Amino acid sequence: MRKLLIPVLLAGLFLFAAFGALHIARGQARSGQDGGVLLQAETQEGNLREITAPDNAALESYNPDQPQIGFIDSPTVACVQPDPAKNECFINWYYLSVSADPSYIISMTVRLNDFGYVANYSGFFQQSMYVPYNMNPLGYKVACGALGSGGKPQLGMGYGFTIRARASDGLSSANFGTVHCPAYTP
Amino acid sequence: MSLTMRNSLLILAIAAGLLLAWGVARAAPLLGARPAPAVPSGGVTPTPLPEKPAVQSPDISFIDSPSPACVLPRAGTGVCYMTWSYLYVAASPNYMISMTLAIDGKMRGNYMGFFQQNIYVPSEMAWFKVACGENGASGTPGMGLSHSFTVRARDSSNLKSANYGSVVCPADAPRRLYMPMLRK
Repeated sequence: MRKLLIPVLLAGLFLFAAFGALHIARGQARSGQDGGVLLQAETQEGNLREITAPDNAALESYNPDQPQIGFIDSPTVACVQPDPAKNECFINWYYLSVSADPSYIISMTVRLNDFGYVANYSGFFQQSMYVPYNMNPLGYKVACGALGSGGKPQLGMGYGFTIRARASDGLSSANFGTVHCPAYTP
Repeated sequence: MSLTMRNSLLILAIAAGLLLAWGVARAAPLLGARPAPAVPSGGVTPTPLPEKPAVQSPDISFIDSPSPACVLPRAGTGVCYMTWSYLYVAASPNYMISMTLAIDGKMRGNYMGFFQQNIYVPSEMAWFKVACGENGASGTPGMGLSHSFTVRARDSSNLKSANYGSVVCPADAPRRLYMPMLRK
């Protein structure tokens, strides 16, 4: 029996180390842009969309095939200059849409990073939220900027934006991108 | 190798095996593991192989830009607006990156894709101020200036599509206000 004591102790030590390593690895889940635990993310030409949870607990029950909150749909971000004689451009989206299941959508916010929040849409016992372009027909007024000022030689200023939605179960979905405006060339 | 060492390795291997089996058992439902289909016994005709999938080449559509228009909402201002019924372009299987609109060589609109395979711009999102011009400015009596436009689109495989055209605006000039001559 005494002969087996050392091997059993060694094996126990190994198991303890293995469990410790697993625990540390689980704790090192990737975090999203806003600091939450990253559940799903996609990138494309400088655009990023992600779904995050407030803590690790959501990781256990999260199923990417049936997410409790979806990616935000924010197609066709536009920046137009209606009057070329003015340094005034207008940013708008064709629509913004997000849904949650079975939880409710609590809010969706639009933030132009240079200015702060420019819109806040609140849910009212609803699982989906749809905001068409004509809820804000003019769009958000910004300066067009000089040619090349946003880093693209044929365009003016570039504006970073963040669209973030939150569901009642604490999950968040966010879109990050940049839209470039036509240049103001007096 | 000593007996203690051999026993240690043996117990370690058993523990590692148990740990591995436990890990696999935990991960199986997450991976959506399904029981393997029953293998038919001999004498059964095997199912035909699936057809070879067609080679999908990336493609971008022509830009749809119907009814380019130039309208004069208020006569006597000299201000006209150019618009379209809509602008539309699609890519497959790629994403659309951008669609830009230039009037008279000047970029006026930039529409960017966000994880989308098509871009649709309704007329309300494409509304641009232009000068109407004097009567006959483009050679057509009753009409004013002609404005050229270019719509360009690009997808994530760098395929491009472009439309070129022009629109003639109604003639209009700002009304002149004649102040009354007042004697001192």
